[in-house]
Amino acid sequence: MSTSKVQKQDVLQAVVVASFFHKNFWPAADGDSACLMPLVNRPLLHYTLDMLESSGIVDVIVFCSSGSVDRIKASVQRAAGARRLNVVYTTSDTCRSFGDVLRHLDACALIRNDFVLLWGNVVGQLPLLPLVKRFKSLRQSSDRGAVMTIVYQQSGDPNTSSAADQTIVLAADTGRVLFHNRARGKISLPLELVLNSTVNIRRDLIDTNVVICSTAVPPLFADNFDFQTKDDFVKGLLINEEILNSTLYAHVVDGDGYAGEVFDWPSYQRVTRDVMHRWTYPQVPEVVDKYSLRYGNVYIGENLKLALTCNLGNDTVVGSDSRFGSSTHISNTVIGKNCTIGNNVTIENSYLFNGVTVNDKSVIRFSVVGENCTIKENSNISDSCILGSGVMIEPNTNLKLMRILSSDLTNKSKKLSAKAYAYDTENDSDSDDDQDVRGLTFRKRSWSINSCSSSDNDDTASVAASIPDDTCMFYSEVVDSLIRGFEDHVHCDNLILEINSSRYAYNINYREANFQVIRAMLTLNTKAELEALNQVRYYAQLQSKLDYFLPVLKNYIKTMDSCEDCLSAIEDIAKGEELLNTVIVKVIHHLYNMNILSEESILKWHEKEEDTQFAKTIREKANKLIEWLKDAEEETDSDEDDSS
Amino acid sequence: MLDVDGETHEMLLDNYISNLKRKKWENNYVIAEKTVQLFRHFIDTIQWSTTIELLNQLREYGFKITSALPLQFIVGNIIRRILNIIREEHTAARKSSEEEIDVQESLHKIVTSEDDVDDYNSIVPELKLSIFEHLDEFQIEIESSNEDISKQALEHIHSNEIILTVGKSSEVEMFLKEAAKDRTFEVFITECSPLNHGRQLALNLSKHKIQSTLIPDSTMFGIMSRVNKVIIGVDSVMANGGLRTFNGCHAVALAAAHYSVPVIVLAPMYKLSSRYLSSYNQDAFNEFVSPDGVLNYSDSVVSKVDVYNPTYDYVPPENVTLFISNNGGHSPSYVYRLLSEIYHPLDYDLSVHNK
Amino acid sequence: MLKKEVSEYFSNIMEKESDISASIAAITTLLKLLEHDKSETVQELDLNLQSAVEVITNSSFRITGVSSGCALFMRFITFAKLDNITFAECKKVMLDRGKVFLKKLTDARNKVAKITLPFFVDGTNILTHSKSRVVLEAMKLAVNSQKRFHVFVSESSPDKSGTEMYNCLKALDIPCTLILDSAVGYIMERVDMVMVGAECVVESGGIINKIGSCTMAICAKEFKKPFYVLTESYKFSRMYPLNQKDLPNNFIYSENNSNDDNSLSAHPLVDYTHPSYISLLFTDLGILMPSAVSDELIKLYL
Repeated sequence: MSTSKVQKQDVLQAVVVASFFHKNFWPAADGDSACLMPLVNRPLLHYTLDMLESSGIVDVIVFCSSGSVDRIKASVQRAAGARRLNVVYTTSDTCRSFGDVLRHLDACALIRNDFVLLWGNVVGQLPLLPLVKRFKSLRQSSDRGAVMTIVYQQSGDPNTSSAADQTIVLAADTGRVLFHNRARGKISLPLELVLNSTVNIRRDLIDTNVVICSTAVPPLFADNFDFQTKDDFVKGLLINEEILNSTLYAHVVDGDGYAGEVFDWPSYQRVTRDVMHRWTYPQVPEVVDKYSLRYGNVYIGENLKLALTCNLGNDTVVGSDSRFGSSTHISNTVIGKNCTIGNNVTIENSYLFNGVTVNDKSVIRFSVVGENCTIKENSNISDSCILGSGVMIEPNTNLKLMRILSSDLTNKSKKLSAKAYAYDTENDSDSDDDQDVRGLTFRKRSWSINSCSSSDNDDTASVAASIPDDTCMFYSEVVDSLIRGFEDHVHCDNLILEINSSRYAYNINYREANFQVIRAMLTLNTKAELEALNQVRYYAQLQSKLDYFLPVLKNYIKTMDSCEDCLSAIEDIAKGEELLNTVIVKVIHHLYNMNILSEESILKWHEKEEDTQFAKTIREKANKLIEWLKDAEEETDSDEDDSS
Repeated sequence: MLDVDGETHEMLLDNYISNLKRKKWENNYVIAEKTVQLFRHFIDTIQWSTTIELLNQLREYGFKITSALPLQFIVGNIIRRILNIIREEHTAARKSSEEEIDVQESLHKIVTSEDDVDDYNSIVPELKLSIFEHLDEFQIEIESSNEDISKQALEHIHSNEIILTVGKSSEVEMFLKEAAKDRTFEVFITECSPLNHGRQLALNLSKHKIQSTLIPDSTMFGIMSRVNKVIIGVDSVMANGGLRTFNGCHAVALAAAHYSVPVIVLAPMYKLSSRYLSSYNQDAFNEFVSPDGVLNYSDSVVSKVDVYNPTYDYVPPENVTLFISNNGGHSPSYVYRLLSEIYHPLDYDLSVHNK
Repeated sequence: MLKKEVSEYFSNIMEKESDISASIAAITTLLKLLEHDKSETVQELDLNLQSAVEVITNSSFRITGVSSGCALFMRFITFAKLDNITFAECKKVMLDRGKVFLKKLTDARNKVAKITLPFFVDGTNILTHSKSRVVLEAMKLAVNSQKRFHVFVSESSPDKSGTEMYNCLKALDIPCTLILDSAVGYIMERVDMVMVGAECVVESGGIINKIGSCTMAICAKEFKKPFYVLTESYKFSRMYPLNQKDLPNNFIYSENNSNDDNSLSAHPLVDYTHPSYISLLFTDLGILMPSAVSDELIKLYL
């Protein structure tokens, strides 16, 4: 009795989720059987199964949608490395997310004890048994509530977008996950984390989507219906730690193997590069399939017909039975089997699946070409085009940043030719807004030597894109607050509170906030009102408003810097508004009288060299004021001298 | 090990090939043993009546294995050896010791041949039995190869000598331990990064009370002037007398040549390969493994550099002084003769079927 | 009369079929003689064959390869004499064997091409000297097997046979460059290997080949480039020259100049390359080390 119990516990199971719930690879691979998409001419699922087999795991449960189960079964039969696995297929039509899959697994009750859970897109060479042993001993000895060990891969490349997303705080001694946040830019960490223990704060970890789970995981998913993705699960567990009494641990792969996940095109590029650079040895092309390795990471298949002047650059994989014409340049690409490439073709940084025909003089860069496509003469396909299978591109076509299908499935595509329909992303209302589907990264920064400036530019570009949104919102909110405040005679302290809370909500920094507040104050009149006013009355109104908001101004304009901001705000507004333009000097004078702006700041602003015509005219107008100020200064100085 | 019953030859072959691909058997000696076992099983279970049928079937299996594993030379050696054993037994049984049995192709053969060579197309009684006998001898030879080599240790290592060795080789370890029974000497061991298996050898030798010093690979040239002999183990010996050994050995051999230090290579006969190095680019010669040992994946330069981690090194025959194999010592220029004794030229190319 | 016929027959073959090597032509001639011979005893047959061999070697064609082929044939005759009863039967056996022998030898070039094939790696640069039909055959096979390589051919004056080789390679669509003999030192760093044929392989493992081969071999050794020799096995000869002077005059100089042995104006046509410069020999007996050649010869002649 006891021996059979021991044997039962020793069986290690693995669950492979072969169904992805995203359409990132569409149209090169459709969602349900995206795990069969070739990476370096081998289906992704084969890599995963190979990794399991070499770790010594024998029982594998594969989950897939019922539509694709036949294709997946056929593919697994063909997999050379998976002959010794016992594969059990479980299917469901109703699963729409990762959470659903685990609930389905819970219902099927196939899991008997601790298991390895991974998606069908994991590529790597990782010995899993030691990890499972460690997890088991952890559960038995120190922490009974340990539910999951998440495996992360350390990345040194700061440009890997997926790494920059996550912030993970791990306890230094046990590797327990204490905090997890997926947000770019700034985040706040609760202080208690660092007060009680030593922690590691990691922002360089990439998700490998391999997790070691205990049998408690599927029930947890079944109990909480809002756990849809793994991130939900992690967040949920961390927030409700005491309630659920479950803890998470992390294992960072460091020198004992490699694991990578392919979930969108940039990660596809990264993992392809890693396979070609042999990080996944022995799952490299010339061991698993019939390739021969040449210098410079060039993998050549069998039965190739290469013309004499055909040039194969570094990091290239050329599948068997392909033909290449003369004066052709291929570099940094993966070409599938049975492809025919004509003369004078350039293919760089692209992925061509099996059976592709490319005719003479074409150029393909940074693109993915699906199976059995034909690209006729003199075409130019570049900048992250994704072509589905069976597409035919007519001669002399130029394509950039498009997704092409061979037939009009979604009724939203624009027809390019008989067998090419360009998918129009703007008109498609079905697309998920929150998932920004990224194409192949084709800007220089992700490929060649990174100069810091180029990456900074890109970062500021993306940040700049978001700034207008936030600041605009902030600005309009402040305007609303002030208008309401003036009409309802709200106490200024309350106004300050309102403005501050807006500031925190939109994450505006201090100086920007000052700038916007002043701007808002000067533009409280609507357009209609402005037309009705003439200059004098306008100024009177403005002055009364400024007087009313004096405490607010006093609160924000305290330092030299804020004075500068104030002045530049005034200048900024004056550019746009005619009326303000005329009274600007009076405004500055008034603010000076109210002791908001200091002399030095005004003088400094005046002395600033500005190129624009407008700035010069403003300053000319202010000349008189400046002279008066300077006289006043001398008087006060002389007073002081006299008094001393 | 072979769960024989019910498993077809196909499945056995697949299992064998995938075990080798996954590096389940690290040691060359283990690989040789498993191969002999596998082929012994094949000879037992294949349906054959004439020798040529058996030979063709075995050649087919051999071709499958060698084309799936082009970088494993040991496997090819064992297969060719077994085929030669079969041919020898056949010829011996037929000719019944009239002439000297020489299976080799030669000018002499061309001139004196009766129409054509023996095509093995006859049924020889009791052939299976004699083949199995010979295979048993072969297996014993493999098992005892290390001991046979180390028996010659006393002839080559003298007292108060300084020996240099590279990495960890089981032949060298046994050789030195045997010599240490009678003589005292000092051993320098290079670490052999990135796997650093030299450390294990240093540990083993020092446990055996042999004075050993572990040195990094880079300091090898500095101490070479004081070394009396270099003794290294190999992965394979190529047909021209060149070696396929641990990475770093070529540099050691060149340094030894510079200081006129003899380089002694310990290689049992089953490591003798009929292959030549066809290109200095080392296609189909060297195995490039994961760059993990050289550069960590978490290093930020990973995407900007190409990292190569070769497993083997080619040492040309000019730099080798002496080979010590289980049947004595030979000079590198004599290797071709040894080859002709243990392999048949028709078996060099396993893809051709003889009728 | 017999001599004249032999000489005519031999010259006929040499002129008509330029692709055939001199040794094969000689052996064909001797076999023809055997067929038509009317002698009654083995001794007489022997004498006839000896005189025929003399005629052939004294003909106007280059004889370096012929001598080894003829020696091989004579050896072959010696072996066949042994155990047959009547002379007629003996002759018949000899004729049959001879035909098989000839067939094996004519196949030799294809065998050599086949075993050289794996050494043609994609993208290599090969240097060769003068025109060798074996090397041409090997390159033809390589190009048909989709290998891509570039050949540098040295002119090999005085008879410009390198230019002939260049034209033949061009006809096969192999990218090639013709270089001066003196440019060998210049080009050696760029090539990956040197591949030459041989007119005769001597017992030490060295070769006798068109003049300029020795220089090329020494240069290759210095630059650590492999020096490969492609040859058929019937070119193995029992000579053992120790240096250039040891080569017999009739090898070095063509018939017209053989009277003038001291004259410096006569240019030698062949030179001797020491075995230490040769990496491997590709023959129809397999890939051999230079040290293995003497083994083969011993097996045959002793």
